[in-house]
Amino acid sequence: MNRLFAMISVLFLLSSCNSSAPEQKQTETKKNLPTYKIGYMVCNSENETNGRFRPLTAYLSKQLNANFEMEAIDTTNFIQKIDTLDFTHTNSLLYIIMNRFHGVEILATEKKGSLGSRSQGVIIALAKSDIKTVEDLKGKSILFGPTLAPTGFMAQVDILQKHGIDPDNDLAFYSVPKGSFKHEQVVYGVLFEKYDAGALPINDVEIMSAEGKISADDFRIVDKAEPIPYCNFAVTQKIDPAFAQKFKQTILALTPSTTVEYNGETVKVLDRALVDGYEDAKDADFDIVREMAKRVNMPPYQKY
Amino acid sequence: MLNRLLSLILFGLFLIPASAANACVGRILYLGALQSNEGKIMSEMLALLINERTGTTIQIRSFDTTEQLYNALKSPKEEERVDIVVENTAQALSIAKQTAGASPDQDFIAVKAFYEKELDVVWLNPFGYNTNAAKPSISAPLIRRDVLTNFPLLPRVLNKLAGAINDKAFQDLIKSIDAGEKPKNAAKDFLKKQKLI
Repeated sequence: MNRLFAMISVLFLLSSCNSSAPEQKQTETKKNLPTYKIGYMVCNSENETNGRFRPLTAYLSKQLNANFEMEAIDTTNFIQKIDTLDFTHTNSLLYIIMNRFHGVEILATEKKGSLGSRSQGVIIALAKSDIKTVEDLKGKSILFGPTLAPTGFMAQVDILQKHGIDPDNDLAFYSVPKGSFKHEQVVYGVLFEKYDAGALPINDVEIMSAEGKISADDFRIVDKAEPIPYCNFAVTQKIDPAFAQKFKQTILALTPSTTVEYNGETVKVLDRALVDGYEDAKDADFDIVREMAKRVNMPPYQKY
Repeated sequence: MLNRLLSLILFGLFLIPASAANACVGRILYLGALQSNEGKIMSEMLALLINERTGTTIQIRSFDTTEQLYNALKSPKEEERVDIVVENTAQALSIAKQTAGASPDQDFIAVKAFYEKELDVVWLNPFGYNTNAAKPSISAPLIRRDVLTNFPLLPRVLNKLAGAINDKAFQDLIKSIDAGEKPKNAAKDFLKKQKLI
């Protein structure tokens, strides 16, 4: 009998691998309040995304007197789940795809790192390598980030094309890493000389350097793309515009000292979310992303 | 009585991790293939190329008949759908209920238009080999259009096989399978020789 109970306990622990679903139904759920679901795009891993945004989601529940639930969703699954969501937190490329195909509307962009509410794709090589300009990348290998990461893939293909390099014909080889933490894998792929160059957001270089994972001096930034809007909150069409505005104002009002009681501790909301704050945004701010997507033959304008 | 209750609980708990497992991994792409030597070698080749170049997890689903394969291509259900298949123009003309044109290239244009309009499936560039010496037929990878939005790198990567497999290379691959080599190994060797992985 004891063995059976032990097995049940183990199975309970194993089922917690699905870190989002069971914990969403926390005891915080209040009866008779409307429930809203926020889909958060997974940046590095599902666990990281849940850890970052659960306190913020709890804060929104408290401030807006509603039950907010969250789901961490892989970039490649996000669009097909849009009908199950009320609010979205994604990168700028996913936003313009959802805006065009599903009418999702922008609320606010995230501020983080040296560029504030902007993100910038860079191509890196080892400082000791002979790759000094974009033209030097001809005949070399490049490790890109996830293809739906605007500053991990699209921006760098744009750089190459602007310099007359066709990634499909002029590079020796290119690929995308398997598994989680793809941006970090790109850096290590270059550092350990498996690839000649790497494509990733400049934020990730800054973060890895600040965390002591790499020394920035080991790398050369071969080129930078034009800065584009960073991750953002947007709202689906099913939400009342007045409530969407309340949501937006709540997000914009967040400061580094904003806290929430979460799982028995007082948590700084922005700090935990690894965000500096949120900034008002307009749909036209994303035209720069749209033009880049057209140049690089990416969705929502992809042609075959 | 207590044991039966606990058994029921245990069975129920076994079901939880099954659904949780899907939530713990990213999206998987499913590649459909018929149980023929061409189906086996080309599905393995595409699976290897996609996995190595895009980091995407691929699972191959095998089918006995064309009808089963196309039902899976139309299915929205995760447990039965396929996202990518290899098809030839002769078979596609049959599906489209069209007659052959003056050349395989014309057939390709005709079925490509039909599949995009009627099936929401996109034909990528042909591999280069003919599947039927008596009535030439072009083979190419096909992808569901909704998949292309979420995996925009797929056309770029799969088009690396465009024109890369001529008749002799294809026949050599088929012969190696007939001789007992595993399709996955034959596909891997070919891709490495071509410096595609």
